Amino acid sequence: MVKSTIIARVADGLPLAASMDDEQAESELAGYKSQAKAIFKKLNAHSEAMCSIESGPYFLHYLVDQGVCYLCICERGFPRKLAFSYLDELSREFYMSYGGEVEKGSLRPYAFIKFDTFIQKTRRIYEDSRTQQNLSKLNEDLRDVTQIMTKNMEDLLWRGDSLDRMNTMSDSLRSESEKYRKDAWKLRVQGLVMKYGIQATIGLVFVVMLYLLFRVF
Amino acid sequence: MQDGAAVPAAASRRRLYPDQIASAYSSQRPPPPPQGPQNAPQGYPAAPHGGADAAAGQGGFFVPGAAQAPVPAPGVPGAVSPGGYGYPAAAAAAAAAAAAAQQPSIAPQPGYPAQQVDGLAQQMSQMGLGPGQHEFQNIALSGRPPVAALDEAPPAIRLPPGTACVPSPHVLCPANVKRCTLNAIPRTDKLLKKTKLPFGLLVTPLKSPEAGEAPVPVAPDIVRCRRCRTYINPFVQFVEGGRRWKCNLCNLHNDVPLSFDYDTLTQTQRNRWERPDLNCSVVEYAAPVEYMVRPPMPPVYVFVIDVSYAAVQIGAPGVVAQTILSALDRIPNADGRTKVAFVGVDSSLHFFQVRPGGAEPQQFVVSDLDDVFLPSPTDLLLNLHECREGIECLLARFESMFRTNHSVGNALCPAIKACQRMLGNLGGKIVVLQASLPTVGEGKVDPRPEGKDLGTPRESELLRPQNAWYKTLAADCSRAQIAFDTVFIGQQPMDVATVSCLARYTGGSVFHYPSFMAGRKPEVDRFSYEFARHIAADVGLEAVLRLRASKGLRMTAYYGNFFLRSLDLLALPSVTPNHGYAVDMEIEEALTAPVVYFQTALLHTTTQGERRIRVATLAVPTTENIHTVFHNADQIAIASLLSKKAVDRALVAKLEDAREALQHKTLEIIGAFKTECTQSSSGATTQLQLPRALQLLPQLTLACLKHTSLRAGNNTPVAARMAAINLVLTLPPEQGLQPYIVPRLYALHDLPPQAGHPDEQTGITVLPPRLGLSAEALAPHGVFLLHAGHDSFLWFGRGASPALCRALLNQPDVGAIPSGVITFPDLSGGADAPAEGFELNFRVTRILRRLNELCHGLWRPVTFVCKEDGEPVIRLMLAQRLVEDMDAAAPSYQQFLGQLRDKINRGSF
Repeated sequence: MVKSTIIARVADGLPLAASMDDEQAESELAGYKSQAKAIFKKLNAHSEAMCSIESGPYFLHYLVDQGVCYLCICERGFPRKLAFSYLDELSREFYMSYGGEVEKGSLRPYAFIKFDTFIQKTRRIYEDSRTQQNLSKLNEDLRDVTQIMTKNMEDLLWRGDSLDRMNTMSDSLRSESEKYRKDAWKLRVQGLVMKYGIQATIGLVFVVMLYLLFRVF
Repeated sequence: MQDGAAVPAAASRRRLYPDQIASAYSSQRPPPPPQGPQNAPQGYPAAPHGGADAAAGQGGFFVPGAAQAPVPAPGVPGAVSPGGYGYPAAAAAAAAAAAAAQQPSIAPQPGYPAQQVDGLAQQMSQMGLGPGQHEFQNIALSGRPPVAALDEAPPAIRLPPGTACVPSPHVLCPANVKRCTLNAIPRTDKLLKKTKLPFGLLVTPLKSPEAGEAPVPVAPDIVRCRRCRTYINPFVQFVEGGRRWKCNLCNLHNDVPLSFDYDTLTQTQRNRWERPDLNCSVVEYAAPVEYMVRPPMPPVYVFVIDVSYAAVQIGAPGVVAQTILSALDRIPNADGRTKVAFVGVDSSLHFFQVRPGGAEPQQFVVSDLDDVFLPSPTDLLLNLHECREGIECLLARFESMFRTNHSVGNALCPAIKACQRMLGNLGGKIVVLQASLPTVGEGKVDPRPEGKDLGTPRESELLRPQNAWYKTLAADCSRAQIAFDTVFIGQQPMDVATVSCLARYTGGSVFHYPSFMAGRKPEVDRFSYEFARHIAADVGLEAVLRLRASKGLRMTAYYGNFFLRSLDLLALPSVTPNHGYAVDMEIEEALTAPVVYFQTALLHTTTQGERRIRVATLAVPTTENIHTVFHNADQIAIASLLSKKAVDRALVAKLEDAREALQHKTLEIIGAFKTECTQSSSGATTQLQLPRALQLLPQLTLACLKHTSLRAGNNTPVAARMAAINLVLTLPPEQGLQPYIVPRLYALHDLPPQAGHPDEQTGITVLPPRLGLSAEALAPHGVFLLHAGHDSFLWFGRGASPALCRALLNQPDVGAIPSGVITFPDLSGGADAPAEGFELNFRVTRILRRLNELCHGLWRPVTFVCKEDGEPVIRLMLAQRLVEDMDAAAPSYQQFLGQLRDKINRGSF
């Protein structure tokens, strides 16, 4: 079943509405809610419009429509088809009620919290995946959920980080290798000096003396 | 003291030159100032209009950065256009300068030369305020207390000019939002100890605007000090040409955000001096996401209604259900999210389920009280909007459902446990309507016989909770944002002291209706009005209140209904507009600044589902002069703080101790004033003297001592005392001290022509002159009105004329008027003009309405008709409220003064 629902604006991740979760599970979900917030921060206009993200015992499904992201946290066993059908229903109703106001600049957080009533109502319809209505929804091929990407939370949250890390590592590797090359050259010169320095000096002195001798005499 | 003498040292620290400021706006170059702003004393930098003006008008005089900006045409808004969207630093500086130039110039004030405290007299004469001796006037205490002074405003707060960065009329914090007991604060703890005056604050954090008042302004974005997290307020100073602001609490320099002068959304200039948070001392902010741990919660009300035999006998369940039914439309429900639930309690629990849209409520009875469970996982908490039909049906049938209930016993505690589970993490308000003792289940309470303990030291034991169950539960609930209101109905023993702990630690309210009976119409009307008003009030939910004060000051104790989460943070799951909080302050280290500041911030969710922060900043000048401290004390605030401290002490120590402490404090203050500020500093005196600002202190103390909450003697039931203690503890001074502790007395047979009619200018009903609270004032030929907030009395003299009785109550003569409780009849039928022959009734109705308005409509008092030779019970009740008279346990005003004088003359206090 759907555990929690959050609706946010894609442009800046501002939460617009959320379900009040009156279950004791709220504390369990806290971590996943902050993951959801992290997802909102990462979203932009070029992100996938629909995606399922696996995280621990839950699935986070989201749907982006008209600049608004609808995200729900579901149990693992909850059919994806139903979850997306639920989000779709929310998005249609939300767009109808508040579509025009979403892009306003001076919106306060949770400005459309009254949408919660509708969320609760819809959630109840989808509560049990085995009701006749929901079964028929499952059977109708409303949506080809197989094409929706499934990602892993770990990957999603850390992928950007690892690319960054790779970048900095290669950068540091390059600068360090340059430093090594310089050092190696210096070392080689030093070694030559140590090896042939005395002989060369003596030779040089000898040559100079010879030269002086020949000049004088 | 109403003049500049209060703050001589502060006034001396001037560095604003009005001429210079004014000329900065004209096109003429100002004459060079006598001393540059650089010479401003350390720790008191130039105000923005000083500094930035100099930069704008004199080119490079003050801050090079600002000077490089093009000088804007004076007074032309937006003369400088910022360089595109990129907003380079130069443009920022230009914008700052332009913004500074836009500020309306301060009206030229009389010169404030740099002067020291010695220049006091000179300053006063310069300000044209006369010799100022009137303000230092001492009043000799004798005879009757000066009741007229009760309605006087507190001594004005005299801030040194330039304290506020914008000359706005709203920078002074209204006294009904926040007031300090001392309007001139001593600089050192030693001086404070010498005066013996209590130092504290009285805060009404969610004060709702009164009729005719503008709503609290909303500021656009939150700006706070980096270090002490103070919100920006009218008393900060702008430095470095207006690019930084200096926090007035910790003196840290903070960057001014770009949004102050430039609106990136619309790409236009902004005038920072128009920001509400720089103009008003009380502002609200819409909280951004960072201030929310979860989405704003909806208003939730759970009504736990006693339906046991004791309650049914007095008809409580029916009246309660009817009241809720009639108030359903007034319960805040802007979003359609409001939830309600109903639980009936006798020796088992009755839950009611309504399916959304369904009309038939379903009842579940749970009688397993050891391990209480919810009979249904859903639909017990009903959406008020969706289940309206079902709720109406349930409430309409509620009375008949339990009419024949003979179940004795009340399982309140299991019911609360179940509600706690029902509200889970959502939070909300549980309204407990109790008419009998909770006798079943875990937190059950044993009946405590009080009869023979009243008036003895053992009475204090009865004021303490019987067990810790309620306090522990309240603390748990406070964490889950659950608040309790406890309503006690009827005369059955209910152990108010124990059960009211629920409200005490969750920011809730306590109501007590001892003489309630479904057949008594005035009582039912009063209950319905007050209860409906309470559940319909615009409360703040899941709130926290934080107090900050200038360096050197420390909060030591708090009084009111709350749960203290950390030293300066009060957790209030629910906060109502008529709850006040008192704070004890302490001077930790000597104050050096001329002005100190107190800031309270209340983070709360409104019933409209908005998260808001209400910030109130109070500025109070400091002084080193003991006279100034005494003459600027706020006696109403002092008495209010002392009464709160006294009842708090009564709850933890003995009643006798509380009375002793209160009396001793008064004695100390008068003694300190005598030794420090009068000629007869040592040796005996025939007449006590007090400063004008404290002239009412003995009377207020006496009224507190005689009030139901602290009264000695054996005729105050414990339940009434507990309810009174709770009201004294929670009400702000505007309701709590007057009229609740000090009632108002008026002569109705002798109304001045204007009284009872609206004032020509303000439209507010004019009140007749107040009389002293003494039986001496009650003339036998007259009719008098005594208004004590939650009840009022009409006193009829033996010789009151029949014409008077007819005009007032439509009765032929005094004998025909029924003695007892009535609702004051409006014989004009609510019309705007008096009915023929009932002009007096019309005027008195208006006066009563105005008096109730003064209490913010908190109560709808029943009227006791008391005849001079009528029922002794009512006469006794009235006599208890005439605080200047002697009664069995306490002296009269004159005797009290005599006692105080003797003790002071003996020096034995």
